[in-house]
Amino acid sequence: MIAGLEDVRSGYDVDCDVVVVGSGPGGAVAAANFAEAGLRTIVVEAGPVVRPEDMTRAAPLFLARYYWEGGLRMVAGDAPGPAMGGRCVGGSSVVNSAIMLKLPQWVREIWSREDGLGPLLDGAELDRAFERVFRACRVAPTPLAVMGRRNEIVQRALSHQRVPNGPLPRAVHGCEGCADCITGCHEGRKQSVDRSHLREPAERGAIDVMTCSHVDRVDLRGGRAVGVSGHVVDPVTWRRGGRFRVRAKRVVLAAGAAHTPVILLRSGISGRGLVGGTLTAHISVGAFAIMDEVVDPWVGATQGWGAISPDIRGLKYEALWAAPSLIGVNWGGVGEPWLRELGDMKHAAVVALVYRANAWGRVRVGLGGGPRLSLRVPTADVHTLMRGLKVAVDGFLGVGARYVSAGMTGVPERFGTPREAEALLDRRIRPRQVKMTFNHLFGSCRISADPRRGPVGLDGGVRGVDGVYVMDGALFPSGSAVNPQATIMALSDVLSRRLAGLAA
Amino acid sequence: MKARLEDSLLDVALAGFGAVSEALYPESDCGAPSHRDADMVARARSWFLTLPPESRRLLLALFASMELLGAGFAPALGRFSRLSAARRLRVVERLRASPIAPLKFLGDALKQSTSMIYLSHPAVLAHLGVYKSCDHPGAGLVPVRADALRSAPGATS
Repeated sequence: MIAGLEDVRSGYDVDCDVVVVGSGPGGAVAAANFAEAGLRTIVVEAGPVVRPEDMTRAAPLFLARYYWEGGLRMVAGDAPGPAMGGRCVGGSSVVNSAIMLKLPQWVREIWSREDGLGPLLDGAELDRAFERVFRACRVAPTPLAVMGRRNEIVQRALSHQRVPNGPLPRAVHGCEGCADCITGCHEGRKQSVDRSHLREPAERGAIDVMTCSHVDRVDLRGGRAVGVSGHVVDPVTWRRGGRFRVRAKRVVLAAGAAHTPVILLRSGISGRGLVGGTLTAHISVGAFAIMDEVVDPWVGATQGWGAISPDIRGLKYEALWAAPSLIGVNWGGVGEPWLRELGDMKHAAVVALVYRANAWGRVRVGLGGGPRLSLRVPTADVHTLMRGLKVAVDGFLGVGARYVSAGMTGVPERFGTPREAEALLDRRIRPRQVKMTFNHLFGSCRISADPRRGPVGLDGGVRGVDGVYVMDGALFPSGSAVNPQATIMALSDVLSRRLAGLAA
Repeated sequence: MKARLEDSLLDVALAGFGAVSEALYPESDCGAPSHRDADMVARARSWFLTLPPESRRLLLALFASMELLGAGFAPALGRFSRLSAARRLRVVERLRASPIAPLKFLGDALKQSTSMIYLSHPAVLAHLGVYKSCDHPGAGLVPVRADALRSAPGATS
């Protein structure tokens, strides 16, 4: 059963074997496994169900309703930038571009070496978990038929720079190339986890999903989890409803790298200062090319084409589009000159760069009780990112772009030649000059064999308390170097199957 | 009392939003819709009221302080909305170009949040030439061309 607002508005008090907090990629996989093992499972989700009729191409309104903080969440620090995440049943899998890539071998080796994750990563168990996840989400390369010109131009630009490239594998079946991933796939072609993992067990009554329910804390008695408690929030009026309590001996936190540590901290579980203390993120920038030809970038798969940099370890290129009201906010200047430039948007192609930087920070409990995020981005990593950006700019210029813009300060607003783009290699560039985004957050409750490095042990259990587990991106010891959804799901699969006693 | 205060804050913030919009999205001869065509203030109001309370308060504070702060520091200046549109545009340009990080952040936030509203109006989307390959519950916002993908060349690597 999926309980909507009217079912939960006045509050509730229920019992189960396992309560899973968060219905995103980590929580949905864990809940499905617990249900398969015959455990009575309740998923508590802060957001509502997003039905096709709730979706709108008016992006500001969609974000206001279905993203955390209305899509306006910011990461503070030396390069402040947005960090967007879904707040609905299915979590960010409902509002991302569904890219599914396995954790690279070299990152596995780092995680094994630095945090002793060999018992989780070195055998075939994780590979089998990836296979299960990919099968459930119907992962396949983006079909050429739905690429459109924008993806094709990114392909040409990467090939021009001899960067090996290809169609990105995505959890989408029957994509129609409408480039609306970020405001919801109204035809249900995207295999978000509400569809791939929650729907069937919820329909047959093996899982109850309680929506619109904000968890305040994990309830503890004598150092043992006895459930979670919180309050209902109307997702339209934002008014508080009744209080709820879910009694369970096992609590699985899968509320994401921003919220999982905050729930622990509000519960008095600080893990000797480690909870929330090792936040990290991929840093992202975009290159906007204006071509001579008409591109019509609003047609074609949102992120259909991409590449892993062969020269810069941990750097990934991916074609990108979103509603003009999102992708256009950093576009050009202001006033009448900007209005005159708007006609260029139909000539645009965009590539996003995602880099596994050595950026570290912290999640704290903010004034309103929600997460307050901060990160420090090393200047050296920004310079590495700029090297990658130069490759993208040169690639676009090499295939006929009139100009390319990166929306940065302190360098020319537009690059018309590769020589002009050499400004990107200026060693004086500082993080705050770069318009970065931080949409892949991790590490705020690191899993580690070493209790001095992470508050979570190799079984996913939070040290110092019994019955509290973490199964989301907060576990990652460091950046995954690729889009994290597949790894979050696979790790959650391994940990939850072990906890439920299912065959690996 | 609290509700009245919030209503007053909303009114001041919308005055600030309107003043910034009028400066950034003026009437022009280039065919782009103006702030008036894009119905900026009414749509901003709807957006503000849809946002979660913390984010709403943040945006209301941003635009309300823009509207009032000048008058607070230099009463001769008056409210932001009383300045000429050209002067308001210069203020936003200077904020965006400021080497002082918080001021630059403020200028960027003004441009970004007003752009979100401007660039999601059907008339603006029509001016951009936006169309889609498939239908959507947001039908009416942009036209749908069922053959859009067939007419676009596929990637061929």
